[in-house]
Amino acid sequence: MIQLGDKLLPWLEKALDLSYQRQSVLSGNLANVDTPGYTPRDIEFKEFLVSELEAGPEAEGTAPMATARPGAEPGLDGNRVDLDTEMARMTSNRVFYELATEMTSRRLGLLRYAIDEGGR
Amino acid sequence: MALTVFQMLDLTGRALSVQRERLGVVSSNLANAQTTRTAEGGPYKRRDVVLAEDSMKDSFGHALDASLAGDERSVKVKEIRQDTAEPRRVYEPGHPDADTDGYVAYPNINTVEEMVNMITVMRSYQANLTVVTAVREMAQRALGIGRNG
Repeated sequence: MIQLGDKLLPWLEKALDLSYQRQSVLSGNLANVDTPGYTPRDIEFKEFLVSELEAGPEAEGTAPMATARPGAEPGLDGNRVDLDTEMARMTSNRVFYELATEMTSRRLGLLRYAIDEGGR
Repeated sequence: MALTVFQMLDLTGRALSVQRERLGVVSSNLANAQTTRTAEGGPYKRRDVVLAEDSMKDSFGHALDASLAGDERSVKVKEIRQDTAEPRRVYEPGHPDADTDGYVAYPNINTVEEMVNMITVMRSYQANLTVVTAVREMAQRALGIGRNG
């Protein structure tokens, strides 16, 4: 992203990227809700974003990869996906993505205002 | 790294097809719960769908895509297995398919079990439909960034 001197936008960019990736992972989990032996995966999403926010704009932490989530007890066929848990996670991720896109739009709007109106 | 929106939709599309196929097999089992005579001879044999993970690698037109993508897997039907359990023998001497001892071989199908399977399949189908909505919604929101700024 172009460096605009804004502290929040780089973090929002990471947040959006990670949230999107998470949707990809959760889609895979739900596709395999009935596959024998399948273990659901997830991204350590919240911890990373919090640490990035605290570290400030120069933070360059490595984004977490998707790892297997211990999850529910395996069923008779070894499947560990709990449909309701996955749905709940997907819903919260959708809300987060909506929040992040909204914040990005507003932040950009604010900057645009500062550029346009501030000169008067 | 993650799949593109289109790849995610492809992944979910495959899952939906798989669930539909499962539903077809469950319906067939339910419809034939009392079928004592088939073209192959003998009673209907219960069928089961075995699922397996399906790599998304064939949906990448380009080697670069494959290296950028995550490890997400879709699902596929590995095989449709015929149940090898013994048929259920019921004493019905008057039945046209009764054997010399008067027993009729019925399919070993538990309708309650099949109904439960049907409900499970419907739930899974429904869940994957929500994934399609979620992915589409995300793409639309991303496109809307800065639109009303």
